[in-house]
Amino acid sequence: MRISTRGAFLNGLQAMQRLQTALDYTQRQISSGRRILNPSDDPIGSARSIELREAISRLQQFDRNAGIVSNRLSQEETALSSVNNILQRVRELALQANNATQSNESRGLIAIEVREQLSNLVQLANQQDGNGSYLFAGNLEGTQPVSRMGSSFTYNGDQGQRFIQIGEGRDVADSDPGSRVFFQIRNGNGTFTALADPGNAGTGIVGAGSLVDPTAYDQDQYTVRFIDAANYEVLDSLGATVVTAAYQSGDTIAFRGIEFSLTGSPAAGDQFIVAPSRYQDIFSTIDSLAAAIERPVSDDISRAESNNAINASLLDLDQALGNILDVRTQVGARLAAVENQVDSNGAFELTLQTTLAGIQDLDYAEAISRLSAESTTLEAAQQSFIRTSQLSLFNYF
Amino acid sequence: MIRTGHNAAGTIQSLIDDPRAIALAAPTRAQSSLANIGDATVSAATVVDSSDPALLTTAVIEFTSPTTYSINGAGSFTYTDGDPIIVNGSSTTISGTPAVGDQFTIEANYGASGDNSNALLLNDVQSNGVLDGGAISIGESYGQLVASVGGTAYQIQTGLEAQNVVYNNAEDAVLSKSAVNLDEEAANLIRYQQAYQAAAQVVSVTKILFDSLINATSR
Repeated sequence: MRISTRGAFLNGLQAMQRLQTALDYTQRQISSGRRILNPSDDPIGSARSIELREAISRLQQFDRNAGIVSNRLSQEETALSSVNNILQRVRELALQANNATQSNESRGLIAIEVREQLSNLVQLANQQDGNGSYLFAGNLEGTQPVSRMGSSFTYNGDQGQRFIQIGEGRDVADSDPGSRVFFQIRNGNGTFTALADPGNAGTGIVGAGSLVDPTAYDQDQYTVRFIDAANYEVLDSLGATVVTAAYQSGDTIAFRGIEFSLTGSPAAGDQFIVAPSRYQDIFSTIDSLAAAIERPVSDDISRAESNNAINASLLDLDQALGNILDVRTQVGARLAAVENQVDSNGAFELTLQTTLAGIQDLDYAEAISRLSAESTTLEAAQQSFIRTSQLSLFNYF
Repeated sequence: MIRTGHNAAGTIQSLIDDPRAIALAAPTRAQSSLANIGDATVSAATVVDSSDPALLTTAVIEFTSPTTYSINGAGSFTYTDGDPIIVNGSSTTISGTPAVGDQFTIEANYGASGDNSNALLLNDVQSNGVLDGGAISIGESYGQLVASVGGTAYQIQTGLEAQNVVYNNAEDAVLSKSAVNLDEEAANLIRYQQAYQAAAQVVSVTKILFDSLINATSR
């Protein structure tokens, strides 16, 4: 084929321009560190790297969430630990006060400390976290959860729990409402309470009771009435007789699948009321305990009354301690779950980052050797162009 | 030229500045009464019919027997452990064994600045299928869009390169037929120059011949 001068120039120029385009592309890749500069360079890779970046940013947000949840749960754990300490102390004081060697004055002092601990407990329940939100108010974070009017305590929060997402499909509650921690505590032994009637003239003292046969138990209010000092009858809420039996101090009174022990000498007409356990808040329990301790003891009858009241409070207190332990265990389990999730999120994020790097990051070794190959070729093209364009017959005229 | 939305950025403004005004809480909540004797629990309330006019009114579920309950004092509904109960557009689930007289309340969720149930649902929009008739999420759709645009652009580039090759070949063909090669012209120039010089010599030879003839015939 015949080569024209213009054709030779054009061919040389086009070759140099093609080389410059390739060189420019390589240089842009190197200076951005990316293998894919436009989606058209690798359409599938571009779509995949978008998915991966979204997944990675979700994981990073989950980590931040996990940090926040951990903080709140740790705060709650600390508060619950303090609550536990207070309850243990109150229990000690109750046992002390129940001792027959105490005098009215010494019991008065014990009662003062019990009331002091009660105020501490109320303050703990109304604790706020660093942002001014109440820890134990459920979702009503701006409302003080526990308000007190003399001996009556009201819960002003709600029963909601807030869930925070710490992983794909993984939510964790970051708080427990005050109703769960302080208010929804069953009194008595958890199934029923057995209380001495305040008007009793005898010295009968109620011991702990238990549910023996759940299938035989009929939830109802029962009255154990002493016909005389050695015989009693059990009536249900409609007045029908359930059982009649003879009594000796230390006997176990049993009926309809439940039983409790009775010691001392009840008088004729004395009554003991057995009722299903209701929810009783911890504050009322401690308040009743303080009142029971304060009551002066002058004779055996008032001593029996005092013992009965303090024993009943001790049972309620043990239920409360059990409840706090329950909540603490759950909080501990949640903290452990959060830690585990953070670890697994971290491992997963590493995998995703590696995959993403494999798709969109430039292989510098390959790119730089390509750059030097292309620039060598361009130099050669430029020099050869100059040499061949100088060759002309007119140079020899 | 149609420029949709080119003034939109200037009209963006902030309407609320209190974070508690953002609707992140659920509209209703379910609570169990603190006087309950049974051990039944109630789940958080979710809205199933937001157009219900009675959505924010309080409804009290009271158990008249361990297996039946009334709503706001009326009616007798059968209780099944774990089944959803729908009242006033809100749904909740009661599980466990309620006692007679136990109460559960569904009410408007006022004051719950710590509730984030709506936020959790909003969060799910990122991964829920909302486009293409509910089949793909927003993120997936964007990925597909990028892949499709990239693929088309790649096709076009390949086509462009192919066309360039065709054009260059055509141009080469034209130039090889019609364009000038300077060396060729220079060579031709020399040839014609020599031819001219040769032709010029013929004139001078003719002159010499004629001069000789004139000289030979003159006296």
